[in-house]
Amino acid sequence: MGARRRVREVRPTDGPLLEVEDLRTYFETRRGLVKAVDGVSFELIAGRTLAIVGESGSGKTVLSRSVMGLLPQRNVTREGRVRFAGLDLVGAPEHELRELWGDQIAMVFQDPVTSLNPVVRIGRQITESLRHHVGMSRSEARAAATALLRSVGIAEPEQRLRWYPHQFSGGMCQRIVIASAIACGPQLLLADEPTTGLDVTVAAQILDLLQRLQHERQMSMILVSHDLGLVAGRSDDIIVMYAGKVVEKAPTATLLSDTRMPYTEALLRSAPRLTDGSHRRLPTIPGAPPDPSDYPAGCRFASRCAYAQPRCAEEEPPLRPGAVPEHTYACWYPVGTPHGAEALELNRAGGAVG
Amino acid sequence: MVALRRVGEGLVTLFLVALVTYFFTSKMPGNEAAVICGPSGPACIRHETALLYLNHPFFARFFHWLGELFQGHLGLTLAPPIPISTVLLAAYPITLELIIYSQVIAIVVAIPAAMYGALRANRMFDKVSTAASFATLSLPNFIVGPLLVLIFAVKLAWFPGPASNVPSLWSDPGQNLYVMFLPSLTLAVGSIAVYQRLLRADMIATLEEDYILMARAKGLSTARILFRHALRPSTFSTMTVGGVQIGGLIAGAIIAETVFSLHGLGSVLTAAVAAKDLPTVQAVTIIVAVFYILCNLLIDFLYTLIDPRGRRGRRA
Repeated sequence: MGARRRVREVRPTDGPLLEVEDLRTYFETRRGLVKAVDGVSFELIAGRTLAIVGESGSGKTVLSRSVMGLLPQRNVTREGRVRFAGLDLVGAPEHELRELWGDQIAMVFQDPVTSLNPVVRIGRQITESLRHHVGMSRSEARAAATALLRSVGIAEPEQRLRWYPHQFSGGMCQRIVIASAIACGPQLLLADEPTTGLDVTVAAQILDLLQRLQHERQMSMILVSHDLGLVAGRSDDIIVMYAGKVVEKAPTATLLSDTRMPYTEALLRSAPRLTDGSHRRLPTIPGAPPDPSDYPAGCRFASRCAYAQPRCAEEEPPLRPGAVPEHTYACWYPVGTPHGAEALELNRAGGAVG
Repeated sequence: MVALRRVGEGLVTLFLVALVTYFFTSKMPGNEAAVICGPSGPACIRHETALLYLNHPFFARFFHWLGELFQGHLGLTLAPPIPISTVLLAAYPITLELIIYSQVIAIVVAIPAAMYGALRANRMFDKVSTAASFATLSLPNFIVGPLLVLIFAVKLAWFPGPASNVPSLWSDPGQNLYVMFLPSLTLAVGSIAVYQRLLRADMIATLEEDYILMARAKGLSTARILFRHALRPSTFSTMTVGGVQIGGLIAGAIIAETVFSLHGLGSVLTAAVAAKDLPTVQAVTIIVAVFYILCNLLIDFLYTLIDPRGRRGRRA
């Protein structure tokens, strides 16, 4: 493979780096059409971090892959608009997307141990995108990989390049995956639950590492997580997803202080706090997310919601603005409003909620 | 350490094979001395009996034979008495070439077919190649051989038919490959099907792995993902089965040699069995066992080459 011309040059745009408009991603399965992502819109300004939060099955992983276009080749429909640095990604053929993948848009996956090929030395796994996209020579790529390993905090990088993944711990593997993802200097880094399966201190280190690299390299980042508490201190904006839809979207501080969507509130309350007494039961969200191949009418969260009223099961709430224009939420009886308080009171009186 | 243990295990296997072979061949009806002497009379029989240790107990005879074997003395064929080693040296290249060529053909056909089938699982090519594999798996060598002769030697006359003179690989490689092609293909057909089935299945599983998704996310081309990331981790069961079926290949080689009238180890063995030439039968069996064990040692070695996790290594 000879030196490749970088076909997609970084094009400075005035607007946001990434614009997603009404993105839908459906999978044809034997059980029917699974609507994993069902009309999601958001924007990401260059250099900022957006967190996507939701339960398992809320569609956040599919959303991150769908933004990139990294989906199975068959039985998938992807509609809507994704504009990245002025380029339309929806409908672009895979060979064009491939020029962006690993070069301008990179991804860090959930499980670092299985994300690395067990039979390939990590050196080659880091250098292959450099050789492929940037057209570096073997020795140039080696030098770059050594520097990358050092920057993600791996000691003795020259020797470690010759090691295989099984010779590293999970946290080390994630550092290697990150090194390989940022190798070509992407503008956008997608991190899909990058700390699942790592213990708490290592998880914090990995997130700190991502944050540091993002600042150093002025990347934009999409951080996918099920843990609202984890991303709270590490994101500029947060999107809360439920059943394939965005249910609340706001700058991080606003979302935490001025929560409107009962689902967001429930997520926040189900995280343990140090100020809670020991052996205190954590509040949980009753029930399970709806079947993605058969969503109920109305608000998809209604059946599990403490605020739910008859209207919720009939009419789907649109996203509407909150106190600040960047804050939107989809709820008929929002938290922190007289309307919501009334609805909650009504349900408590009726014995529906403890 | 592991390598030494494997070699030790191989030697134990070899000893057991020798013991079993010697036991069964010595129980075959007929008296070697009588076969050698023919009508020469009792004096000759007494002489040969002593020479062949025939009047000694079984284990004494066995260890005497084994000792000779270790010194490279395979003995003489019964009639006419020529050194067995001479006969084997003349015959083994044909069989070895047959096996090696057939495996080269099998690998060259099976790997691309399996890869393409896995990449587009359950589509046209995959369905056709799967059906073809099952069809060839159910065809025995003694059908495939004559069929290939009929089509390619008799009807099309692209390749020479049976009973052709086979020049050695060193003196005339082109002619050697040309003549050996049909016999090798006969032997390869079964291997192609087995390798294609196994590699396709493992490849489909490998393509589901996270590291393949990650390779895709790096923007690598499909070919690069397949060859660099997916092929090696998918070969383990194919290799294991390859080692196991070498025994079957040797049996298949005997059939192919018979069909194509080639003078390899197979024809030596069948002739020796028919003539009750026990020393030759024993010698061929031992050679085949050594070959089998060496092949499996080689595959163990290839394993460690392909899968670094099997090696002893540093840990972070």
